[in-house]
Amino acid sequence: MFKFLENLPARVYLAVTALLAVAPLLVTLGSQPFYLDLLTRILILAIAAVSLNLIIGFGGMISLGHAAFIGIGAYCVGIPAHYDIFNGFIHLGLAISCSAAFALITGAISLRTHGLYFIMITLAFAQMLYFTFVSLDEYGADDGLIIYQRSDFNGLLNLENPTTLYYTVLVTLLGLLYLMHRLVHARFGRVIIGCKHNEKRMQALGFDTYRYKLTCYVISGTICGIAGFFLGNFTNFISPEMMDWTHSGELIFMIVIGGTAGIFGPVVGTAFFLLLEEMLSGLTQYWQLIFGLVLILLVVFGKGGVHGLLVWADTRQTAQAQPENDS
Amino acid sequence: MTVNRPVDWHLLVSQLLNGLQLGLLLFLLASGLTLIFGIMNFINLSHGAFYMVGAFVCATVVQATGSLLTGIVLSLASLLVIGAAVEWLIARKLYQNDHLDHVLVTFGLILVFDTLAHIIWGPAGMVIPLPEILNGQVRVGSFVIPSYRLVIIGNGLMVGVALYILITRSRLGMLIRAGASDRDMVTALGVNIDRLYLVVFAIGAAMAGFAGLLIAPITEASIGMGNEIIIIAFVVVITGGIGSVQGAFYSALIIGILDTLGRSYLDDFLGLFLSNQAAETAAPALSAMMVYILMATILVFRPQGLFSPSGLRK
Amino acid sequence: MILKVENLNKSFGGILASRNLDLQVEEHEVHAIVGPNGGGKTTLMAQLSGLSKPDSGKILFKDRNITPLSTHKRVHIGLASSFQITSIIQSMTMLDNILLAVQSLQGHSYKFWAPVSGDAGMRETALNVLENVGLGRQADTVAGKSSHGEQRQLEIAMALALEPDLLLLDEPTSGMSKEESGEMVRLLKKMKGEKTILLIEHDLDAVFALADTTSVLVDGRILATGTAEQIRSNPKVQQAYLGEETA
Repeated sequence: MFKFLENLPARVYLAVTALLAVAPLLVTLGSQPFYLDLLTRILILAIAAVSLNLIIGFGGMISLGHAAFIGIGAYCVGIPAHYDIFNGFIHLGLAISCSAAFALITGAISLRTHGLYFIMITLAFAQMLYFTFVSLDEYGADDGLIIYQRSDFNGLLNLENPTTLYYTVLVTLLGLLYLMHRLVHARFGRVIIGCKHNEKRMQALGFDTYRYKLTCYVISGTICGIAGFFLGNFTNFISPEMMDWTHSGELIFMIVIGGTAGIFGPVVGTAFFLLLEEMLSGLTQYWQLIFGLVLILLVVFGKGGVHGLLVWADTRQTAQAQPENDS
Repeated sequence: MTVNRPVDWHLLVSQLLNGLQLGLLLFLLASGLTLIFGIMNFINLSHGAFYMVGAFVCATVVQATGSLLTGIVLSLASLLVIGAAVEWLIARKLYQNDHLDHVLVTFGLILVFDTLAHIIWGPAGMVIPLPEILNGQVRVGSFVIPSYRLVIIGNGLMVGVALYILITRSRLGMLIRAGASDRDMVTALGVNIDRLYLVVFAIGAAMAGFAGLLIAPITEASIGMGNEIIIIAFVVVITGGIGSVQGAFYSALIIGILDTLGRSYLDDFLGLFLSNQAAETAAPALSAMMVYILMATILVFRPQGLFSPSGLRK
Repeated sequence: MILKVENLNKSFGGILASRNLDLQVEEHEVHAIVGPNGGGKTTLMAQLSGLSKPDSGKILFKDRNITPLSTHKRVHIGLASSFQITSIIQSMTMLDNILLAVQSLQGHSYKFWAPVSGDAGMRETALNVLENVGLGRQADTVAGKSSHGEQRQLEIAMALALEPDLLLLDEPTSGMSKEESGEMVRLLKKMKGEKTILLIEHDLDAVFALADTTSVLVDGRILATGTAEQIRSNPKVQQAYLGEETA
């Protein structure tokens, strides 16, 4: 039953999860509500990062436009709220259907291409959406919209309460991680992983790879739309800036620091990224320089991110333990 | 307001020139990008940073020496060096890697360049003062055209012609063309491929910097100025076909003019079908999307772009 | 007749890789295509498997015109192919590679919940395929870590697992040592009579040991078709192809 606990990454991830579960308590004890905000932000962006990792880490589709889905989800809260519609079911329903539709349309076109083309086309579509919202004066254009009231789920959930919001996001993230775990081990996931490694072979095995990849892209975009829904609620403010392509770049940064090979990696990466940002930006206004250098060094010298590091430490440990057992 | 308005020829000509100007700037950016993509199979997101650095260096030199020419020469020289350094220190190590690594490393470079610019030149923008002679206006019949606009267009066309000659007539150009369509062949020819890559990267960076310093007297040099236009340059590269300078030229002009005219005429055009109010609401959003819709339409029919050199089908 | 190719034409930048190519493959035969490099063998294979489309001409499979069908659709009507360049999924185990093929046979894979590893039936089918090609004991070896010969065997096993009516093999012994190549010939011989196989092969010893019928492809068209004996004694063939080998 607890056999999975024998490997190091699993132990670390379980500890992180446990810590996250009791975090609000610790924060309240230390009366530092600011940290609850930071943690909530980490969890929300972790949802986005996990969704991005589904297409990049498992499917090999490098999208540089994922922030667009965050924007769509957030505007699906902000625009109805602008017209005094605060019903959370409508907000969430819109976020899911709009991000799915955007993923379907742009994915259908982008996935006809490969490699460099795909990267740049996803980027271009996201910028298209960005500039579209910049030009919409009705919804605040560049300045965006303020959301005066969070999504209302008929009293089922009170998202105005920071702790409730935190736990809602946490439960969503954990549910998502379980879903991902099932998905990548199920038939669909095997096909997606196969496509990443050798798409031509998958076609020769009889798989209509275009459709499987498109389905995967839509699932990923929709989940990221849900992250956007939470982010809109959390920040109480939305603007086109949320979907700027630099944020898509940051999301990739997060999943790569965490490691793209595992399911939990993106969560660790997001936490690492946001905590580092918090720390460095407190020290110097030029923190982005350090970020940039970390990124460059990470690519040129390191591989596999935190997850890779944990796996490496684990195998080293076992390798050292082995000879002792033999003697 | 929109119905039966007589055509304003002065506005149309001035918008066409604006479009041409944007198109040529895009071409200066995109031609370097498309060669780096096509020959090295390397995705360089930080190409826009070269555009910014070109503007800042030129502004600094002009403000210090008062000579525009010195500014241009020093700016281009510094970008040749920076481009070569980026290629030599970083890009070269990654050509064989996954594209994901390219995205990450060049994204990191953007952060580094933008922050360094912030540290060196401060958060505010910098102007490039123009000499009197370039700052005036030219009259052609009843048309009044700012002379600097003609300078940009003239220079853009000149670089375009020079690049065309370089690529079609010189040995370097022959290698570049061969490299863009069949990388293995160049290696098989026994060419020092490392040096070819270095030269292409440096020239690409210099052309991006030239675009930046050309536009800076109008917009001023500012941090992150390249991050927006670079996306449209990507669209130009994809639409034209990765690796094709010719494709980049045509699609840059088409996209530059379409974008400019769209922004000024789309509401009138939509007014023919929709109520005035609806047209005025929809037009800005639609004109922002137009360039991307063009790209998507072309890709539906030709996923490899308009002028893809053969051998680059992936 | 299981496969009939009529008047196939395909050009690449002015070079005709297939010109008015006609070819017929009978059921249950092993049909080999030989010919000099650049003769158009790989182009023919690509058009048969659906990776590239002919400029003109028709491909009939089981009396059905399959010319417009994409690769994955051809698989499901019984036409499977293996590649000259080994195209296994390197990071998966041998078993997982075969499981992908088994999965493909069992209808769509829009199944998001049940883990593949829990499906005992699929596993058994896949293990059988591995046994048949002599890789039974390597089921849990990561494919990329096995020897070149074993990877080639897996390459063919993946196509076999699709239970095709016609198996297209593009140079099954490509890059193999003499020993490995002999092993491969033994493996293919076992299938003789049960499966219809169309193969491209460089190694003429292998061809003459295996094939019921051999066709010689030169300059994009079939120069001669016949038994090994007929091909060997055909003067046109000797001049165009075998001549170089013996000279």
